[in-house]
Amino acid sequence: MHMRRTKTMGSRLAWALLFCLPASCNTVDFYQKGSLQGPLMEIGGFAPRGKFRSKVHYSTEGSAGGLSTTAGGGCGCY
Amino acid sequence: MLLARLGFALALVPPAWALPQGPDDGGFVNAPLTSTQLGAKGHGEAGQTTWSALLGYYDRDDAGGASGNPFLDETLTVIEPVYIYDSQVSEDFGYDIQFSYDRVSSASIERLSKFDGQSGATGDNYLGLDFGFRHKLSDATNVSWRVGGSVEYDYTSIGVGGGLSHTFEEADASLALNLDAFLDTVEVIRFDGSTEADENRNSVAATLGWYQVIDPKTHGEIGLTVSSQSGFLGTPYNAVVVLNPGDPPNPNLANNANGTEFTEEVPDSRTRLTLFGRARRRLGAQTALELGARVYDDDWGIQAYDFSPRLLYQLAGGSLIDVHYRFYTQTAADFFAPEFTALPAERTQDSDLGDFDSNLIGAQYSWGGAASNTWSVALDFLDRSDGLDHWFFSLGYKKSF
Repeated sequence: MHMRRTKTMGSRLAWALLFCLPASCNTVDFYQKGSLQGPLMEIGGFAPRGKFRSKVHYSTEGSAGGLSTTAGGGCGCY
Repeated sequence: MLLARLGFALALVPPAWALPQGPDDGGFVNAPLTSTQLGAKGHGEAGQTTWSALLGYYDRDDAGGASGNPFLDETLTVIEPVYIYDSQVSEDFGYDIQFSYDRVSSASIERLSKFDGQSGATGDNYLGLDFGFRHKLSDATNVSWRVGGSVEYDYTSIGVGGGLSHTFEEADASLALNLDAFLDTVEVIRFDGSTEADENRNSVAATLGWYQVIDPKTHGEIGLTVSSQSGFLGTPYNAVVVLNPGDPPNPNLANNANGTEFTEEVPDSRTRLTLFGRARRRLGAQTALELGARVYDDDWGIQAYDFSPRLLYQLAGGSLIDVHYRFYTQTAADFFAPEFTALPAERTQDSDLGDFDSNLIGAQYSWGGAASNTWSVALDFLDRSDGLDHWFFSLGYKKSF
């Protein structure tokens, strides 16, 4: 039952992602890109801290995968 | 249904793109542990080298086993240093080396140390080493690969990974695909010190990610991970307690319950599905807001959701304050129960596989800004509905030269 639910959920996820892809494109001029630069706008941040925090979460929770994590394997944590 | 609605909501984001360039400290497709480093962002200029180090400290108190699993004192302390050395050798080639170590002290280690051969935890000493390599195939396409391994008292792992990313200049976006595999070996040492033959644990995962600049002040990323595991997927030293009023009090249990311990038994396969994303928007010259979310499902019956807002404020001189919150909720695995009065074929009392909510609040302060040396400190506290609260602290340093 859960494999079927996972399979159905997978189909829904695939369609959801397809709708997320942009249908039209308007580039931002180069002189407008400055606002996306610098530490303030840097997604992800300090890599070792992301690694440490992710390990804390996936070692203490039943889920895994996603931002800065693997999805199983690599240690006895999960 | 929730996910379909999420897809439609994201499709309503105004389509205006730009592709920022800058040093990459690890975006979502750059799972530093083992996944290959890909994405729209660069790794610095040719010849640039970055050395990053972090000392992490984690503490969880469960004196007397009052929280989580009532039969087990789950007090735990972890000290973890992490080092990452990254070098962009040329415009077309770069590499990184990641080293991490865990030192675990826990009540379970003390409890089980009286049994010959059982250290207690699979992570009492963990050593991990990973090597990653990235190659530029063209101005828009990069390929990378990674190999690494780790060792613990009763666990060894070999991991390999590869990835491909392509930048769509006309759309100011990039698409990345990562594949990872782990071939692990578990030494099965049970809670009572008895041993069984070594078992394998194999894991494979694929992550598809999309990075997008949404408008001049907003960019974000969304991804999907599918993973499959097979083999021995439980924790060897875990036990389940079958209660029986006719049994004498069991001194091995934190609450001296009238019950007998049996081995934990979990399915030998697991498939996971994770949808995740985050977007960051500049609110002003010194302020930015990030929203992140994740949806998770697996065939063990666990469904989980988390939501993570983050507010950043840049001080004069380049120092940065980051205040964040995370709400997390999960359902229990199908074979989880807080108490057993019979012994089913599949069974666990691992509190991390039960149902709970958690709220995390934390703050991070970094200084040095865009200079070649950056320091940072962070403190987080997590409140969990089953009482297994914990907090963690980290001190970080980054140098570019």
